Amino acid sequence: MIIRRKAGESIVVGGKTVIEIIEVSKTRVKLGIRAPGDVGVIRGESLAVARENRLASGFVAARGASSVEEVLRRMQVDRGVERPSPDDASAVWGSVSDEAQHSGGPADMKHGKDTVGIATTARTHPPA
Amino acid sequence: MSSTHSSIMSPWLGEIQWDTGSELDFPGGLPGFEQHTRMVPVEIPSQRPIVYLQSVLNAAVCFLTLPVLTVHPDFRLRISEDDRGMLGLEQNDASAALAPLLGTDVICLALLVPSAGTVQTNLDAPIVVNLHNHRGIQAVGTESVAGVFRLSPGGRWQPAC
Repeated sequence: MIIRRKAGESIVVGGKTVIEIIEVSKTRVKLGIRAPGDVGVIRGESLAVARENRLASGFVAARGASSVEEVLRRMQVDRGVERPSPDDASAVWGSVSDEAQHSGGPADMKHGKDTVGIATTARTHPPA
Repeated sequence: MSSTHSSIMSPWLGEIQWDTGSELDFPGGLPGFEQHTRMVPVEIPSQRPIVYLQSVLNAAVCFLTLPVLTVHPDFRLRISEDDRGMLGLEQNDASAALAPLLGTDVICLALLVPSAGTVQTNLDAPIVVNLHNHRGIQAVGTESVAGVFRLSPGGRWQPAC
C-alpha cells in the first residue's frame, strides 16, 4: 500500500495506531506515532539491535560470572594498551570514592559512589 | 531529589541495593527490552571497567557493558536530533547538541555481545546516559560510523570485518 500524505495529515493502522505526519523537509519526514501500550514502536534499524540485545542479555544469563572473568582475563592480556589508567577512567567517568577504590572485591563493595558518577550501588550477598 | 533504597536479588550478582535516586530512566527501554525502562548501573571494583546494567523490572535481565573509550579510545559520539531530544540535552547549546561531551554531559557504554567464542560490541548503538537527568537511550544511529569491534584472543579490541 502506498499513500501520499502532507504535513498535518495522518494514517490509522489497526484502528488504534495513529501515525501523523508532523513535518516534511527536503530529506526527512518527522512522524508522530500514537499506539496502545502493548504495541511496540521502534525504528527499522533497531530490529537488528534488538537481536543483539537479546544475545547480550543471554550472555550473562547463560554463563554468569565466568562470562565477565573471561572478558577481563582477555583484556588484561593487553591492559597497557586497551585499558585506561585509573586517572583516565576517572576523567571519563567522574570521581571514584576512596571506599570503592580500596574495596577488596565484590563481597566488600559497600555504599560508595561508583565510577559512573551517578549511582550508588552495593552488593551484600553474593549468590551461593 | 527524594530517594529511597531499593534492592533486587540478581541470579548472577546476588543482592543489589541502590538508592532510587541513582536509577537510570530509559523512557523507551532498549530495543528488544522496551518495557525495561528503569535500570541501575552496577560496578564491582575488582571487575572495573565492566559496568552491569541491571533491569529494575526483572532481576534476570542484566547487560554487560564497557565504557566506549575502553573499546575505542578515539570514539566520537554522534547522535540524532531525536535522540538528543529523548535525552533532554539542551537544544540551544550548539556544542552539546552536536557532540555531547563524554564524561561531562553524557556517559556512553558499549554493550557486550557474545560472538564466536569472544565478545563484540556495536559502537553504532551505544548506551548513552545524560548525566544531568539520568535519562538514557540506546542511540541506534545512522549518524555514527564507528562500527562493530571484537575482542581478540590477544586482548585487543579490533574492528570486526
